[in-house]
Amino acid sequence: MYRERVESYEPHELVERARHGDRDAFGELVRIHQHEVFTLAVRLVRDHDLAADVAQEAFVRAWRAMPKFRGDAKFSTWLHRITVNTAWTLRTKRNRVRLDPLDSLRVEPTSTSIDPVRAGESASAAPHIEAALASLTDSVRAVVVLKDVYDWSHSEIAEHLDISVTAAKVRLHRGRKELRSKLLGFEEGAA
Amino acid sequence: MKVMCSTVHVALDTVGTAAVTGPLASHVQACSECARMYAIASEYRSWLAAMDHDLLEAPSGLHDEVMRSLGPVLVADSGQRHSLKVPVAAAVVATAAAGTAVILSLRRTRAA
Repeated sequence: MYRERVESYEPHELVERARHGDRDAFGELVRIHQHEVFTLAVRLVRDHDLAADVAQEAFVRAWRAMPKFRGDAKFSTWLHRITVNTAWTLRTKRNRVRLDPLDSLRVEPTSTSIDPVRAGESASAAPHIEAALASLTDSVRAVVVLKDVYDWSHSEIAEHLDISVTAAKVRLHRGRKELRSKLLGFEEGAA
Repeated sequence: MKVMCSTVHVALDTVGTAAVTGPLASHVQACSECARMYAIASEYRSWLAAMDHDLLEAPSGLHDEVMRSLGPVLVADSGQRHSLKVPVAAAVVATAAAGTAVILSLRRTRAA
């Protein structure tokens, strides 16, 4: 079930209070950012239970690292990086999560959550794109998601997934090619 | 035809639709296969970019679980970075001075 993104309310004061050990302030930051952290985790690991663990661990790591947060990046950006690192650590620890059947993992947007503009353009394509994205391997999908959804640079992706920039570019190319090919297949199947 | 087609496909998978300009754009207009590829790439890329605006609902207990899991935190300093360099340097200087004093004292004792 998708929910509409609300503009991140990220008052400097909350972050500052959390940096100085204010649990209530950090709790408020958790409340504000929990959906985006969970969403990113689901997109990376494709398992809702594991994603919940990733989100929880990411917030705990963020809490421990709060004193080091200097505000060079937005708090949400910093939190995203921690989430990606956490997702990759937990995923590795669990020795590659068993991929569940696509149908149980695919997240179908509700009719009210689809952007009206997008819905008008290609309502029928959305499930196919979701399915194509879900069918990519974890390592390839992570690169595609971080680049094409979150607009990370190749070097950021490489750093946080602990791979080379070249590997990031190769996986991105492979992922996009696979997406294109799968979507072409859907299109031809529908014709 | 094949070279231009594969160039278009590689461009779409690496840079994206923005890379299809000039001769590549002319080719896409003339080649139905490349036009289809272009349309598909354009569609999924814009769909992926728009995914950033859709959020999943976090599990209802996530906030409470996180708050229960928080351990103590080191309080941030007020912007001044504490460094061990100065104390260590002072200790080295003090040790050297003490050593010199001992050596000089021993020499005086022997000389006397």
